[in-house]
Amino acid sequence: MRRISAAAAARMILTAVYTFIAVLMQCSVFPHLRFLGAIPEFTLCVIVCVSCFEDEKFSCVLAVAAGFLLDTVGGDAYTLSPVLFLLAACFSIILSHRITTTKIIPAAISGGTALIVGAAKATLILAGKGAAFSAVIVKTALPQLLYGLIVLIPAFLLTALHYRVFRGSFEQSRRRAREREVI
Amino acid sequence: MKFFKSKFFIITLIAAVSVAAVFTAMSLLGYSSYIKAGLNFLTVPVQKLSDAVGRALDGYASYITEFDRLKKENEELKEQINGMLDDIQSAKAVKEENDELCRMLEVKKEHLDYKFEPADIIGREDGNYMTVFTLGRGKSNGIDKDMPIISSNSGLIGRITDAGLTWSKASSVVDVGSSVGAYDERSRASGIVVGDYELGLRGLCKLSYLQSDADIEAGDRILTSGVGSVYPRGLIIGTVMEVKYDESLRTKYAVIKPYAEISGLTSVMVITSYERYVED
Repeated sequence: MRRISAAAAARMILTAVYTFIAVLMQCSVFPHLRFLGAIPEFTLCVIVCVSCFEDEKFSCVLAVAAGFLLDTVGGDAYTLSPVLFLLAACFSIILSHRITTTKIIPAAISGGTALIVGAAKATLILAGKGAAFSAVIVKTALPQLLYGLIVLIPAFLLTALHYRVFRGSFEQSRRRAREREVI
Repeated sequence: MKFFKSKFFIITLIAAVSVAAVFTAMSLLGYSSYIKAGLNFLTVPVQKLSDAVGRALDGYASYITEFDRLKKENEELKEQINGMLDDIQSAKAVKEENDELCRMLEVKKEHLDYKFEPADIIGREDGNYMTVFTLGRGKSNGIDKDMPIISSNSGLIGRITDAGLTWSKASSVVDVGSSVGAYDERSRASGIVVGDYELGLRGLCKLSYLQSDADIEAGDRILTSGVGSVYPRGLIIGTVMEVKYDESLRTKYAVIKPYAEISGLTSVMVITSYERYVED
């Protein structure tokens, strides 16, 4: 079994806390900050961005856990978010492995795609409940998608900042390990 | 990628799908889960905190999102208020006019022999020694020189001094040179109300040529006597403010405050005809 360094463990714990805050924000803060009547998929944005930077396994576990927590705290009758978040994380991981020069492009592509899927999920659920399809698209899906794209930017910036802070500690622990090996 | 073929990923995927299926099914079937209840129990305090943050931000968000709507609403309300203020102003003017006409009607009822011609004051020329009103009606309306003019409260204002086809000029009883035959309503003491330069500056006139033993007191009403050919009998000229004695002429005179509020007049009534008073 692969050993996890203290810095990596701290990073993962803080990433989990960061995601937990994102879930709470989506459930409690963003309902007060509606844009055209919609709440953004902020947690999905955070998961996508985290998956671009983070270890694959941790990303997948975090995506499932965040999806489950969101549906639980949010009181959604359909617990579909764990699957949606996992697929979004996987897509983000694949893209970030293909495009290695920057993290912005994979985060933007996978974030956009995941948000479209999220909007489609909301549309299907509401249409399934009997709401007019066109009205759902105009009044819920499109505002949700637009707002999601807007919050994707700060989500990416926050995540990038989070990993930039930890990159220093990562390199420091690696350097010490190398020094120990030399000795 | 190898990762997606690893056991870990497959187990995670199966777990995610299972969680989604089980909990969705349970929720749709109406079963509550202890796991969800426990998670909710644990997150409630933090949720309350974040909700408080959300509420605190609510006002700011409304400020941003509602700004355009509120601005538009504010402009609409301002327009409405301006419209209402105009309406109020018009209503006030109409009410004042209505009150004026009502008072005029009362005067007409009191003096059935009078024929009136209402006229608006369209100009006012305040000089140092006389006050002249320009009325918006003239000979074409039956108004002519030396016709008396009164206010809506039956107070005498003065007389027409000049008349054109569509206009006329009038001078007031306080003007120097004005003279009106008058008597005290209470004691019947008679005299002549004349304009006085110094008193005229204060909007007053005086009742002269009273007998030295004339019974006259402050507060008495002074009416037109009807003597002469200009003023009908019984019009109220004003009230006595004070009684004085003229040493040079050895007569009394009274300072009169005109009954009609001359300075604030906007319209008057011209008495175009009346039954002449014949002294017994």
